[in-house]
Amino acid sequence: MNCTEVQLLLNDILDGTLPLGQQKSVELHLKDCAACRQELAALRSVLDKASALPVSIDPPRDLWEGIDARLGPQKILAGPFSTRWEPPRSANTNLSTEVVKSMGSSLRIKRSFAAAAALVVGLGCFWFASKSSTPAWQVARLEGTPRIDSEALENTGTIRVGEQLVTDDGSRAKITVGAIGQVNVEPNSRLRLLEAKMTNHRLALEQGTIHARIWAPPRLFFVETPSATAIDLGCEYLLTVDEEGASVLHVTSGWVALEHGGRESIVPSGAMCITRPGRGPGTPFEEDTPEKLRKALEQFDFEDGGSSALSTVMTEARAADAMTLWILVFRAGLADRGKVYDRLVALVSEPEGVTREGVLDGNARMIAAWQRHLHLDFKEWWRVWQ
Amino acid sequence: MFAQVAAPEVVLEAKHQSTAFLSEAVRRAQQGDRSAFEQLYRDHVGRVYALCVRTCGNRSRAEELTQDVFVRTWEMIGSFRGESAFSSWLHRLAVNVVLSDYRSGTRRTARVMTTDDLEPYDRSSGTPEPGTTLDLEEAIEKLPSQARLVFVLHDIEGYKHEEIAEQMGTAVGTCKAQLHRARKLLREALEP
Repeated sequence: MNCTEVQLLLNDILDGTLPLGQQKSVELHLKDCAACRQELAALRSVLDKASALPVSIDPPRDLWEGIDARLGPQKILAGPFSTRWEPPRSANTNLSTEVVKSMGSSLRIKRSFAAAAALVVGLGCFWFASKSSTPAWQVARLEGTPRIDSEALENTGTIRVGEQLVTDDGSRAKITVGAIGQVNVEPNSRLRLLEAKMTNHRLALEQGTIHARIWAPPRLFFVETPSATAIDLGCEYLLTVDEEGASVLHVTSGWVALEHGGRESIVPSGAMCITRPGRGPGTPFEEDTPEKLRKALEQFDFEDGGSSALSTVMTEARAADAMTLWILVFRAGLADRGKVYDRLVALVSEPEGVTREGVLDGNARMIAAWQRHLHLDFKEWWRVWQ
Repeated sequence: MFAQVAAPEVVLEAKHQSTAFLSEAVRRAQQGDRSAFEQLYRDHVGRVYALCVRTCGNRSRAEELTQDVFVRTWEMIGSFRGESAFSSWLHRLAVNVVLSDYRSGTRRTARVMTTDDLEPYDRSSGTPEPGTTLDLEEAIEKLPSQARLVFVLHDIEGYKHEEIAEQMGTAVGTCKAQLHRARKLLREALEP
């Protein structure tokens, strides 16, 4: 195990939930890695301090008067009422009963069949072990009848590396992405599992829509589409791929990077981005960006619209489109960059200590100041998130 | 090496004690005696306020929530059957009030952002700055709201992820991620 893998497991160690199978390799790593040991000790210290906090804190003032003034009639309840949280009834309860019954009946198998049964079980175990050695994720049917390769998914199953999950217009499925998240596969979708490693969770979305929710550090979950790769930088998004391989990304929480051929667009929460085959990702825009601006942006990004399209973008841009303009300052041709910057400053006040010349010359401090000003500092966001 | 850290002490349910927990003050409060209820308030307000102030991270809001908890307790006290300690029944009710407040707050901000991803954009949320040594209470107060709520319920109050996730209307994995996030931010805040 390396540091990245172990760091992901530190909280499981603290909570005593580390799977037995991983304990030895984590222990071995910790034995040799002072940095991870130190991190574990520091986290443990936080928990020690938390457990020593007082259970009671007196409010700064007596609240009784305000409470007394609000006391109305008491409710009389006919039946028992509980404020206890009842844990959800496990669907496994009935299953377990069935398993026990099944075990009971198997014990009644006559001795004459025992050897044959053992052989079948042995072969079954071998088959199961060989199948299990292929990395796989759990899949659950949400609606209709999704298919994994040619097999219909009844309720739950697994998708292995190389296998394809297909939903028709009446089916949906949920994939549990290792231990880092989940992906809902919407109707009329087709995807394939490419990698299922701890540091590389990778799908190919050939067509359709997925809704991904990921709770892991950046760059552990990837979705390849015909026109770009979506790289999860934390949180939640919706990604749709059409029949021609173009895609639309809608980030609802956190950040997602789209990459293709060295071109990258980092898309924040509340923003969208379009990708086209052979062209990669376009310029991100807000979900409420006016249609006219979106069209002009598409012309600029994918149809060589140049200065003319850019001019429409600048005319239509609102203060709320500052993110789009800011990105275009660096994507526009040399002749247009200054104009885009001027339009940005006309809509959004310039951060303190920043000059037009400095930004256009690529001054890192000034660019960083703008990023913070527009809340587009991904590194800052990640520092806060992690 | 991986021994589980002892969970903070929580008041456990004690069904077997039946109605033994129906103290005189509780019985009288159930019959509408406000002075008895005031006594219950004085006996328990510290624990309720501690929960509220730690989970919401705002002292004036914590006072309002504490008042809400006791008003709700007054309304519902007739349903308390003594199947657990009154303190644990009250504590569960307080947690429900806190979570209800959190959910309504989330709905208010959902139009703008999903859950507490708002905080990274909100500089006023005052996330602990690395390198600044803080008291743990202060550091908890400065955590992003969802992370703070999960940390307090899990690491201080001793609730399980499954319980917290169900009540917050979120996935267990999200709950765990928020707890990890909270611990990491606290570690940074507490170590200069």
